[in-house]
Amino acid sequence: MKKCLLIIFLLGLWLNLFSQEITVSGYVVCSGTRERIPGANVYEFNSKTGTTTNEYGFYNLTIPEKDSAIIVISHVAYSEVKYVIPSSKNLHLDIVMESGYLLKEVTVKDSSFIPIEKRLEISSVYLPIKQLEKIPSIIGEPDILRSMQLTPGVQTGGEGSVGIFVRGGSPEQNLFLIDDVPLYYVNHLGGFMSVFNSNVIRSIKFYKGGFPANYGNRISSVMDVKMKDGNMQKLKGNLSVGLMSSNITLEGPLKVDTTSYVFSARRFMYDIIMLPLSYVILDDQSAAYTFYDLNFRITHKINKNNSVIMNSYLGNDRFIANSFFGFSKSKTRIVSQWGNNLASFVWKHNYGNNLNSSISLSYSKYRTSIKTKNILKDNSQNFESELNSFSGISDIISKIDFDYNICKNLKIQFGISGTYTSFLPGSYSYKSSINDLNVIDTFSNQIGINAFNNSAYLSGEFYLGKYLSGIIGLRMAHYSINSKNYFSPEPRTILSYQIPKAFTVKVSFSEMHQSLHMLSSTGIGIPIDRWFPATHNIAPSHSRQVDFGLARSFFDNALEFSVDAYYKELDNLITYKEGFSFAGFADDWTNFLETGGKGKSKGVEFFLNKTRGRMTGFLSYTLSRTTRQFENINNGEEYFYKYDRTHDIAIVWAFDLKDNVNIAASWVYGTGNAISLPTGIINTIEQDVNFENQNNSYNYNQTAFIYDGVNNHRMRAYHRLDLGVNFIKSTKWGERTLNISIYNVYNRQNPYYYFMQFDDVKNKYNLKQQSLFPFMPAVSYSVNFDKVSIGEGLGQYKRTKAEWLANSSKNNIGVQFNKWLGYGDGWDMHVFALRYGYSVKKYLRIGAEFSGYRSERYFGANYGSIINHNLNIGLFVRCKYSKLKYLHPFFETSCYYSYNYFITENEPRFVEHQHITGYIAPGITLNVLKGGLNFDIFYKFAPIVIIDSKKSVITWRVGFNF
Amino acid sequence: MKNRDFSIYKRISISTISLSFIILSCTKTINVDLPNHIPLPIINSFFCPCNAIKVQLTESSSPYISMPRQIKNATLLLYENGLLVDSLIQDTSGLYVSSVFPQEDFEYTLISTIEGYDQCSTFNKIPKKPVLTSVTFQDSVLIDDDGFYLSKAEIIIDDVGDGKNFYEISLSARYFKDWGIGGIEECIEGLIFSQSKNTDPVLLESGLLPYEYSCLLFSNNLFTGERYALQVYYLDWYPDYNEYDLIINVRSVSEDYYNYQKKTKIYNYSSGTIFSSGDTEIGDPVSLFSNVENGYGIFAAYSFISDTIPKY
Repeated sequence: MKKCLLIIFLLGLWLNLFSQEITVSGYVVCSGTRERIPGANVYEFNSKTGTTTNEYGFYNLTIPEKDSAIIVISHVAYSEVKYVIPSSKNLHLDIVMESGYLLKEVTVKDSSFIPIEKRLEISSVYLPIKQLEKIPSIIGEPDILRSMQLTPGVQTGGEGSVGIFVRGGSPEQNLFLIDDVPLYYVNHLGGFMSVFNSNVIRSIKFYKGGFPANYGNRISSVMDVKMKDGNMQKLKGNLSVGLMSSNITLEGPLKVDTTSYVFSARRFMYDIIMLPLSYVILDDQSAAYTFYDLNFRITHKINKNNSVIMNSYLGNDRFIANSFFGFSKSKTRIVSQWGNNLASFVWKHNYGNNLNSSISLSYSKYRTSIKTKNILKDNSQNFESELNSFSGISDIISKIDFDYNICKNLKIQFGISGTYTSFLPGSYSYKSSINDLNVIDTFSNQIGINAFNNSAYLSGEFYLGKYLSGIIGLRMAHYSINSKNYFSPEPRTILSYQIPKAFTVKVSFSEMHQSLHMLSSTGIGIPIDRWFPATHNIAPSHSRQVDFGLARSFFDNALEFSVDAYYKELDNLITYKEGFSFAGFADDWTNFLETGGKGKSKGVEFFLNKTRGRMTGFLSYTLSRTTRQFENINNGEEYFYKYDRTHDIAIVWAFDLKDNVNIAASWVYGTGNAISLPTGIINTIEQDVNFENQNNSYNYNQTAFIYDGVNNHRMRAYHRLDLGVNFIKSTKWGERTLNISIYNVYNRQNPYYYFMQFDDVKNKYNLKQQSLFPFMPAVSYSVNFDKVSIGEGLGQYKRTKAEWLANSSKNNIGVQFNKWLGYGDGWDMHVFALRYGYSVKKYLRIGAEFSGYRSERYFGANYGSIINHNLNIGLFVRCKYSKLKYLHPFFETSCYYSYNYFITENEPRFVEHQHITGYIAPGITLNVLKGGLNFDIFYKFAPIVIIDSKKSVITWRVGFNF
Repeated sequence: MKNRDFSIYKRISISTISLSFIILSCTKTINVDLPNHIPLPIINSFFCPCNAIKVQLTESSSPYISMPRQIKNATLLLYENGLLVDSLIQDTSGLYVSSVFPQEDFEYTLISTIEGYDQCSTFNKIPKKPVLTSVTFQDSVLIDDDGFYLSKAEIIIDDVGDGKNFYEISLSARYFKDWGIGGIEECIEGLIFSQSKNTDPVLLESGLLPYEYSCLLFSNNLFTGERYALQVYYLDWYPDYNEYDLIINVRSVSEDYYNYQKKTKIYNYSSGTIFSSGDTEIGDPVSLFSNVENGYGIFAAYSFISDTIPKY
């Protein structure tokens, strides 16, 4: 391998030395938004040499040294641009492109329009976001991940199942990145919506094979999602209201051409009607589910060679279920929450013509919790119990990536990264009381497990002659846990040969390792994902994959065809031990695991995609076979993976009836999931449970099913037709879209799960199928405003100093009072704050604040209630950016004295503690009523706990300016 | 406690997530093209010295057609160390019962002749009695994760020979319940072993702790031919009556008995019901062990020793 890299490197040098060439480089940007454009073709007319802009919109073109050159820049969504430039020396040339001579739907920038035969990638998927958005979905809202599952080799687990399965891999083997930060949980609503809000996404790359060397620690697929930079020129927005979910997206400049932001909030609204409706229908049970997603990103161009990006995402799913028992007051209540948080800071730097770097520090966290409360009441006693369970995983990631164009025929990428991962496989607390007398109150906090993932990679992209090209890369992964070290070399190779006027032939080989394992109870709909680290006894899982593909585009790249064949081997897999399907949050998790498993997957994928014209759509077909093998399952013999799908077909069609009306349809078909079904029933013998006469008393009345193997049968095939229509109307402020869609048009009852129901009359079992989603119509309404004048207020309004002095109020009083909305661990909490601030400069405010909280929790008859008071008093300093009319980003820091005291109701106990502490907090102020009233929201970070065992909290103030 | 709580949680979760779509969801009976089930006889019997051998004889069936049915008028011949000693007679409960009592260290073979089926045969040898050297108890030595007090027992057994031996241990409490005018009744209640705090390597090696809490099943793999002091934790028992005796039951079981019990416990653990209707969930399959040629079921032996420790 080293020799190969050396040869390529020397070859590049040789090519560089013996040719008289110059380099033209720079950024390609959109004239309207000033966003950088990835995937634009940059071409020198005379020498017939060309390149494309990278994901940052940067290009680097090496051309022969002459007096002049003609540079042609093209992109399917922009008007072609030509420049005549002097080509006697290296040149930096930034290019502005005017948008839109083509169809409206392709105004979202995407690298999909590089002809497929010229893409140095295999088993990857590019679909324009607008094309994906047209695909009808279950709740009338486009979903990118759901749409991606229609492409070959990617599938869902079936009706109501979360997670996606790529080429026989399991859901945890897929790497999902938002701006290079991994996400652990990507599905809402049982897999029908993803956490990716299409309003804020710039591009998606999806790899099923031929993995670039910069990706690692997952073994089946990579989905690299890049968020929009935000409009650098003016405010744009989108507001959408659906029957089930609603969202708002805003993007615009904080400073024109320099700083932009993107903000998006989305919430699932169904719980508002779900909870009462289910109670009315069912008498004794009610349930509700909701989720939200928040995205916020700021992009700041320091100068032409430097930019910084701050990105954050918060997401949470919440499920509440109540069961009531008869007329008594007995009930069970379950509150389950799960979701991701992430934040990142990226510095992008261009060192000159040939070298780019990206340095990032990021944080990602996934957590899940379940709170179960039982109240059993009868005439004589009142039993209450509460079980709270937690599990989670978090990463702190630092990485440096470089992108270096050695010459026109050789480009290298290299980088290093380090990840510190903390696992909390499970902890729980349990308490119970009888007649308000505490019987049990325990807390089991399983010790967190920490691990390090380090990696370094080097990858070379080369072009030998006109037709042969390739990528040769090597990633070295190091994983360390409890002084156990795993070193894993991961070669990555792609070779491509373009047969003139025919297909391009591509082959690749990839090896991947993954130090994370996950078990999920996907079958019951609510994901209770538990992530486990590889340990001394459980090695990192490993995959080895070979791909062979043919690709070609037709009709000026409007039609693409590809066929990929693959063979993948998986090692060191885990699963539940025989008989287990749910590990709960118990700390003895290794007892539940079967380790050392193997898997195989092979298949052929066909993909025909029409990307342009009035009619767009694609046809995908996958023929595949996936198996698993564990020593102690199925007698050690190979068996079908539950999600093995022999045939998987998707047909997606979209058509523009008029300029303002488009319709779309999709039809999917998949072989049913593999399932084990009982083929017989027998009597068993058991020790009599009452233990009387232990040595000669048996129970002969039990029965057991007998099976003919694991996953030897199939559920019914899955198929479904969805239709959707969009009515678009342009208005003076933008456009509005009315979407009507129908899910499962012909009401196919697809299997969710099977179960056995005993028929008392006929004395036999019936095999039953539960289905979830038959015919479902949905309506959503959205407005895009990009012509509205309020945008100028946010984006372009600049106050003069005199204006500021005339209009601003220097004094501010802020207040806060609310019930604590966090988990609280059984404590009933109320928060308050009162502050005074004085603006000494237009960007600087100082002040004092008095704040605190009161919390109360009942601990049974012995102790009664325990009441905790927290009081804080301190000073704060706030730096704000106040040139905008309505929104003022700020950064606040404070130092304060904190005093806590606890009072026990039934015992004369008084406990107090005090300390001096502080916090730092980024935030934003919304000014209304001509600046008379403001609403602050900020995120505090403190070295010690602020409230509810949290060192970081979101808080707010309402302020009055005078 | 934990597993039961999560089991409840799981059922309620399944139920309530489905409720979320109650307006739209539907259930239907489906026909699956399954291979025809070929019925075979099922022989079920555990036997030990000094007790007559009782055999349940039924016929397997397809669960979609009928439940297993009892087989009448079959001929069951019992051989002791290869010699025919008895022909089992069906009693009023439908069980076939021997007139001879089996003996320790003897091998018994059962051959059944049933009209319409091939001849079934099975055999098993009664292991030698276990050697229980001593038992000591300590009350309330530990609190488990759920807050329950645990008692500890140290059970010393001598493993005999250099081959594979298998053991099963249960603990129970015996007390006398005074019904007043109804008289006094002897009651026996099994004690519950801790699933989280039992860390004796012999128990961990068996891998059965997560599946079973009423008895301990293990092999002599880690103490072949040696004396072993087994450390066991069980939940404190709070009797309604002050005086009770602790009974320890130690069985020396055959390998077939061990394999059958192990698989059956795993099977029972994985079997569940969904909703309050009692419908049976289809989980991952667990194949039961059988030592019956041309049939299903088990014919397995054990010998035992009991000790009663009067307390309080």
